[in-house]
Amino acid sequence: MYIEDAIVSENKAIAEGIYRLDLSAPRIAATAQPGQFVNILVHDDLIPLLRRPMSVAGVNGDNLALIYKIFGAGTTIMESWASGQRVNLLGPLGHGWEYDSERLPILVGGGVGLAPINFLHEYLLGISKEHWLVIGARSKKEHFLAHDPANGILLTTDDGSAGFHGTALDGLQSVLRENKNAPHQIFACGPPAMLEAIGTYTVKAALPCQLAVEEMMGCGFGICQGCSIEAKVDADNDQPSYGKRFKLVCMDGPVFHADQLVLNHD
Amino acid sequence: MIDVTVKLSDQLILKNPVLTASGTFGYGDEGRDLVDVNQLGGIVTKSITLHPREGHPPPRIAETAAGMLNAIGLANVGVEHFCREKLPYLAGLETAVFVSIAGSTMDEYVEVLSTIEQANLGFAGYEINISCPNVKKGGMEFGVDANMTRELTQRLREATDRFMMIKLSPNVTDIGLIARAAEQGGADAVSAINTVVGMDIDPVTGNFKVSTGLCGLSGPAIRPVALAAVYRVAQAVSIPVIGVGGISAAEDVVRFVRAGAHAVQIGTLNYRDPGIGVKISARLPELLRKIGAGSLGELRGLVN
Ligand SMILES: Cc1cc2nc3c(=O)[nH]c(=O)nc-3n(C[C@H](O)[C@H](O)[C@H](O)COP(=O)(O)OP(=O)(O)OC[C@H]3O[C@@H](n4cnc5c(N)ncnc54)[C@H](O)[C@@H]3O)c2cc1C
Ligand SMILES: Cc1cc2nc3c(=O)[nH]c(=O)nc-3n(C[C@H](O)[C@H](O)[C@H](O)COP(=O)(O)O)c2cc1C
Ligand code: FES
Repeated sequence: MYIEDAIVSENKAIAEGIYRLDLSAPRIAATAQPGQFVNILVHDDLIPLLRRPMSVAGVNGDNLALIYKIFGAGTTIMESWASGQRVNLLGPLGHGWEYDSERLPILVGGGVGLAPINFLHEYLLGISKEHWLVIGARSKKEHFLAHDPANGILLTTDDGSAGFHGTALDGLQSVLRENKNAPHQIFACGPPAMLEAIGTYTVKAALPCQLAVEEMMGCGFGICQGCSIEAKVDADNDQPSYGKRFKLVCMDGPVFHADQLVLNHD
Repeated sequence: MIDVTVKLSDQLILKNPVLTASGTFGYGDEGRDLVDVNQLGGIVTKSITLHPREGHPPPRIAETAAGMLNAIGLANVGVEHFCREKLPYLAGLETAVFVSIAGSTMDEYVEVLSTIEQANLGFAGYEINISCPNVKKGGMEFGVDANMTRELTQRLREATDRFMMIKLSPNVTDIGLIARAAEQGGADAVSAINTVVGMDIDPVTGNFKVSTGLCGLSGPAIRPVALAAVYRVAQAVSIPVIGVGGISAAEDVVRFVRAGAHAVQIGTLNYRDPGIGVKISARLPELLRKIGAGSLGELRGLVN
């Protein structure tokens, strides 16, 4: 965990409302693992007051990539950054995906939930590990990769304007049908409704699945106790959340095994 | 040499006036990769209760203009675990450590404090949290009642010789009255303020932004409220006052000292920058030189 002044190298729109920010941050880039995040100080003034957490979307040498969507004040400021801008980062934070080399990875991302999925995708490409990438969006405009099932990339759209017509869960189920016999492992990140659907489905079907979740954060490294999420905790209180009912997204997550979380299905 | 040390009692001299506030710096070890805590004037721990507390359901925090709302619900490891796993590290630090304690009955406060005393380790003292707005029982119940404040302080005073400061709530009609009750009960100092009762509501969904509805506001947004409280408290008592609320710069430290504080605590700003306390204390001598003061103490109460 470092506090590092990063320098923006590129900041550009890659799909409707979705941006990619590349920054030089050698110390964080050298240690970041897929699934981890950074906490960004978006402004030197006191508004917005808190840092903004963003998943690492990829690492290239000294560079760190982020993929973000404009929501409010913080991300609007981020959109204005030009190359050369200095940005204070805290990271890498949290713990990332637990990858099992014996299994076929099936990655599912929706919206900006693509960021931590993209990092894992690049990591798996780097070690030449065959895998599937399922990306969900409402329509074609929100996609920035090409539908390429022959190479394991399946795009889905809710309106059928590109790729597979259906939700990310429908896309995941179709990949599962095609790979019935391979032991697999599912990694998902996206909007709450998508995670809920995928979590509920995989827990019921007893499929190994990890979800990267989001919660409002104060600090990003365990000192505020603000980012709790309801979870099934078996250990005693010698853990970052201090208690038995909750886990901290910033320390215990943001990646959780789906069956550890309390999703609406139970 | 500009003197930034602070004498809180004959036994207790802080190397500088900047402490971290309870609940905003964990147990002092979480940020040790990021900041040398020994350069701080002191650390106040997360409030400890008799039993571990899991805290409130999410969402526990929300952001407001230059502030934040929280209802953590005093999530903490409990006194037994604290004494075993956290206190030995804290006792080894070269900065003043204040253990914050909370309870839902007077007996509970006394039991927590006595348990910590039995651990028999070296640390500066206690901060008694009688002002948490986020728990149903105890906490603020004590902090809004002068008689209860006096009695609780007396009972704790009997249980320890260490430095003891009482943390006051701004959510009262006359904070000076409560401060005086703490002084009469034998407190060595008072700290002010804890969070200000607040709330936010999502206009579209109608949901409370923080799960409990009512919660506590902190950060630069409350600095004027805190400054006024410290000013009133300093008029009311002759024991040292520790100012807390919205401090984000060395200038703010001087503001609180001019209002009558001996030292300050930094809370919410630690989330933004865990190194802020060290940075602020390092900048103080330069600021004092600019003001033309040889020591921080010279400026205490100096307002016109
Ligand atoms: C671990 C983690 C990883 C994330 N990764 C990404 C990512 O890769 N790309 C991306 O676009 N977004 C990501 N987010 C969400 C991102 O943090 C919010 O979109 C961003 O903070 C919005 O800030 P804003 O000022 O633009 O919007 P605001 O108007 O301030 O807030 C809009 C919403 O964003 C969320 N939010 C605001 N502040 C925080 C905060 N301090 N902590 C958590 N949530 C907050 C809240 O739900 C809020 O209602 C991630 C969040 C978490 C917790
Ligand atoms: C998330 C959070 C948790 C807190 N927990 C405690 C606590 O356990 N005990 C306590 O006495 N004060 C607690 N406080 C209050 C702070 O110590 C401080 O009094 C208050 O936040 C005002 O200072 P600030 O504006 O610098 O944050 C907490 C504040 C926040 C924001
Ligand atoms: S964000 Fe502060 S504890 Fe997780």
